[in-house]
Amino acid sequence: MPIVPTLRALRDRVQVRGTRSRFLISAFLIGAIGLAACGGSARALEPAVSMAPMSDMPMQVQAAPVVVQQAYRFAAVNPELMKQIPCYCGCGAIGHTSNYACYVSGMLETTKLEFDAHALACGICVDITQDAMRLSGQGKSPGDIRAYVDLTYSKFGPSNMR
Amino acid sequence: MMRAQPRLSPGRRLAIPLAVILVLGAIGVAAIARGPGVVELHARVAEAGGFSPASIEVVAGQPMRLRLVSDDMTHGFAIGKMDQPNLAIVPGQPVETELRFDQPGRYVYYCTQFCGPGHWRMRGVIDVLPAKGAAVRGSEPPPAYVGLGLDIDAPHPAAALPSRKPSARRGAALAGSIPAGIAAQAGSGRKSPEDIWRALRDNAVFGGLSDDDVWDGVAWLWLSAGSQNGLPRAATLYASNCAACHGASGNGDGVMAAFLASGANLSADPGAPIMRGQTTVSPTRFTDPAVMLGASPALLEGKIIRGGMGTGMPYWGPIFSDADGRLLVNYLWRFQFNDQE
Repeated sequence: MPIVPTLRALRDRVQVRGTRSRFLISAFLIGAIGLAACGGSARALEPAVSMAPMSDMPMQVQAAPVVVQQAYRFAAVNPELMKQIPCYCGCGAIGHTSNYACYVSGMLETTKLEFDAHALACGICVDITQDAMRLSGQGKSPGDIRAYVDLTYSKFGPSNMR
Repeated sequence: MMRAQPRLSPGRRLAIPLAVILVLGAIGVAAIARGPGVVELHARVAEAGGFSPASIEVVAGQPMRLRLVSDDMTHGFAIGKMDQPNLAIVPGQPVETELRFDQPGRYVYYCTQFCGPGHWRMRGVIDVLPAKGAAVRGSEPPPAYVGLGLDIDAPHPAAALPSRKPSARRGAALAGSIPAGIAAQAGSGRKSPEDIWRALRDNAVFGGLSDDDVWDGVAWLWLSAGSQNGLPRAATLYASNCAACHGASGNGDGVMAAFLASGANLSADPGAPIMRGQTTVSPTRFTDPAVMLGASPALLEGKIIRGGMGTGMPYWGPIFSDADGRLLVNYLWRFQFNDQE
C-alpha cells in the first residue's frame, strides 16, 4: 500500500515536538489508513515489488511510458520468476523462450545485462509482465502467475514455452 | 515496580476529543469528496504514469464507483468490449461513473482520446472475481486465426496484382457467373483476395475476361460479403484507433508514423546500458496491393487482435468486440477495392 510510506514521510516532515501533536497526527494517520482500507467493494492495486534502479536502464527505456519502464526494471532483477513466465505475443518465432527474453537478450561480461528492444514496442509482453508484477506483489507463486498468464493470453496464440 | 501515571494536563485532556473530531472530519471530508467505496482513477499521459491505479479488483455483481480525474490533459475512458459510452476526463472536472460486472473475468479500460506517442499504453485492468461460491472464469474460445493455426507474422505478399483499382460495381456484372463454391470460399474468411482471383482465373467461365475484369469480380465478392450497415461505425473505429499511425487514407502516413519508423538503436555512450534489437516498424500501408491482396480476413483480424509482435502495433483483442473487429477488417478492404465506380 503506497499510502503508508507516503503518510509516514508526511509525518516525518512535520517535525513533531510535543506529545499532543504526535498524538493528534497519529490519530489522523490511523483514521486515514482506516479510511483507505475500507474502500467498499472495489480495490485498487499497485505494484510493490523489487525493481532495478532507473539508472540501470538504457535511455530508450528511460524515455518510455511508465508501464514499460516498470516492466524492464522488474525483469532485470527478477530473472528467476520471469524465466518461468511465458509470452504470447508471437515471439517464440524469433527464439524467445520466456517473457524474460522480451527484455533481456544476454549478459555482457558477468553481471551487466544486454537489454532487448522488443518489449519497448510490444503490448502483450508488457501487460504479461505487469500481471506478473502485480501477482508477485500479492505473494502468488510462479506457478500461480503462469496459470493466470496462460488463462488470460493463450487465446492470442501459442505460448513461447513448451 | 510500577510507575505512577502522570496526570494529564488540561491541554492534553483536550487532545482526545480534538483527535476524534479531526479523524471524523477527515473521514467526512473524504466521504464528501469521494463517496463511500469510490475508487479514484487518475489519468496522465503514459510517459507520466498512465492510469493510476492500473489494476482494480472487484467482485462480480457488486457495484463499483469510479471517480475519474485528469492530472494533465483531456483523456478518455472506456472499457473494452462493453457498450458503455466513452467518458471524457477533463482537467479540473472530475467525473464519476458506476460500473457493475455480472460476469467474472478480465476487463481492460483504456484511453479513448489520442494523447501522445504513448496513448495506446494508457490501459488498466479490472479483474472481476467470482462471487463466493460462483464458478471461476474459464478460457475464452480462440479467434479464427488461432484456430486455423495462421502464422500472422509470416510475409504474405501477393504475386498477382491488378493494374487498376478493382471495382465492386463493375464486378457486380459477374455475380451470377461466380460458382457457389468459390463464393463460399471468399466468404469463409480464410482465403486472400489473390487466392480467390486465382480460383476465378482458372475457371473456364472467366476464360475470356482480362485479369483486371476478374479482379473486379473479386472486389464484388469482398465488399458484398461485409455488411454495409456497419460502415459508419467502422469508419469511426478506424479514425479513432487506427488513423494516428496508418493514416486517414490508409497510406501509413498518420501523425505517429514518424515516431514509429525508428529502427535498431544503440547508445553512443560505451558505458551506458546496452539495448539491441528492432524497436518499431513503419505502419502497414493498407493502400499497398502487395500487402493487402495476399492477406486473408482471418489474418488481418489476427493482426488487429494480437497486434504486431514487437512492432508498436497495439493488441486490440481486449478492446474491440468480435463484431467490431470484423467491421474493421471489412473497412480495410475499401482501401483496395472501389465500390463507387
